[in-house]
Amino acid sequence: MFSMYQNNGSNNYNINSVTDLENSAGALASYNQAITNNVSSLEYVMKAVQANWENENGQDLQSTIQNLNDAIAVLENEIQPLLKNYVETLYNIANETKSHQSASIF
Amino acid sequence: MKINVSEIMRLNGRLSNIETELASVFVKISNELTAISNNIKTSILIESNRNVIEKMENLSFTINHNLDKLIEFLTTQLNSYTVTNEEATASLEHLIEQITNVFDSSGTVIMSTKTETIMSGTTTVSEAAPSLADSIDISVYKDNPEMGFVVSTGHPVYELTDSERHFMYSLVAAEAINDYDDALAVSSVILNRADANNMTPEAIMTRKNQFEAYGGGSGPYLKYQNGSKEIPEAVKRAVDDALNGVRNCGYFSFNANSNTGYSDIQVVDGGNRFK
Repeated sequence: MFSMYQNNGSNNYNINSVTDLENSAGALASYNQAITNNVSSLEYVMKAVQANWENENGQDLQSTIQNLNDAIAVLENEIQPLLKNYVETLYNIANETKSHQSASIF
Repeated sequence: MKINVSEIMRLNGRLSNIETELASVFVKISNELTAISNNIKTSILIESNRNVIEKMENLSFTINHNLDKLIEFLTTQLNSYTVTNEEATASLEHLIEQITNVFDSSGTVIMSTKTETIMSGTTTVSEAAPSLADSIDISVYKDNPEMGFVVSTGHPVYELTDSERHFMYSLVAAEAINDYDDALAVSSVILNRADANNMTPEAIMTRKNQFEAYGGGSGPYLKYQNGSKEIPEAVKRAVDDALNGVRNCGYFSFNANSNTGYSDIQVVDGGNRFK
């Protein structure tokens, strides 16, 4: 699991544009949803492929399928929660900056 | 093992889409994180974003590499099954030809009993209607075996929409210009191929490298299609008669005399007409 930066009050940060920050948060949220959709499709297709090739022709597929399942696990268990956390944090920073602009923007 | 080839083809296409979409999403996320790093300038965040981007690049590589292998596997399997199907189709066509020859010698046309819908849409092959075929005046067509024309009736009947029929008029007109025998021969070739491949006449006429007059959609048929050239009545009559079950050749390839400019015509083995 990745650690990510969150403002704990001891770090100063310099925000050029709060609007851009909010836009970035929205974009990341939509990309995260796109990953969810594509991963669901990928899992469905892989199951269908496996169902059609359970004979000797499909033996070579096992490592490929396993690699893809591993990648999906990383996406679902690490990347997606991180992006979700990232989006929430960005919105929090944006809101905090708006309410304390003199303290947050240098 | 029973394989649903069309389903596998669909899945294969979906895999390609997923690969493209995921790669695109990864790039967009990386770009967004870079933009955030530029927007909030803290060394800790920049370092964190760099780690995320690196991890996503590795993931993207892993997914693309393995999806490519999966797509390659499916494509190989599909090609294998396609070849098998083609071989089976060729064997079946050969068998039908043999049976047809036997029945022809006794005067029976076995295709006249065929009743089925070809593909989806409005084009259908229905049971030949003897009364309709018998009512057609075929005296305008010359029966000349030495030149390759043997007029017969009772072949499969095709029902086309007005636009499909107009398209066939246009293509045959561009191939055969204004000659009953040539127009019926070109129409016969189209419908012979449609019969053999279980395809609609329109699908046959628009297949790649099949008819010069179509020319991938920009050939000389267009002048007839758009009305800048008038479709001769002889062509309309021949096409209509062919769609009602009249044929004057059993060939799959034919060079119309008026198209080649040959003054004399001969039919050689294989059904192609050459000077």
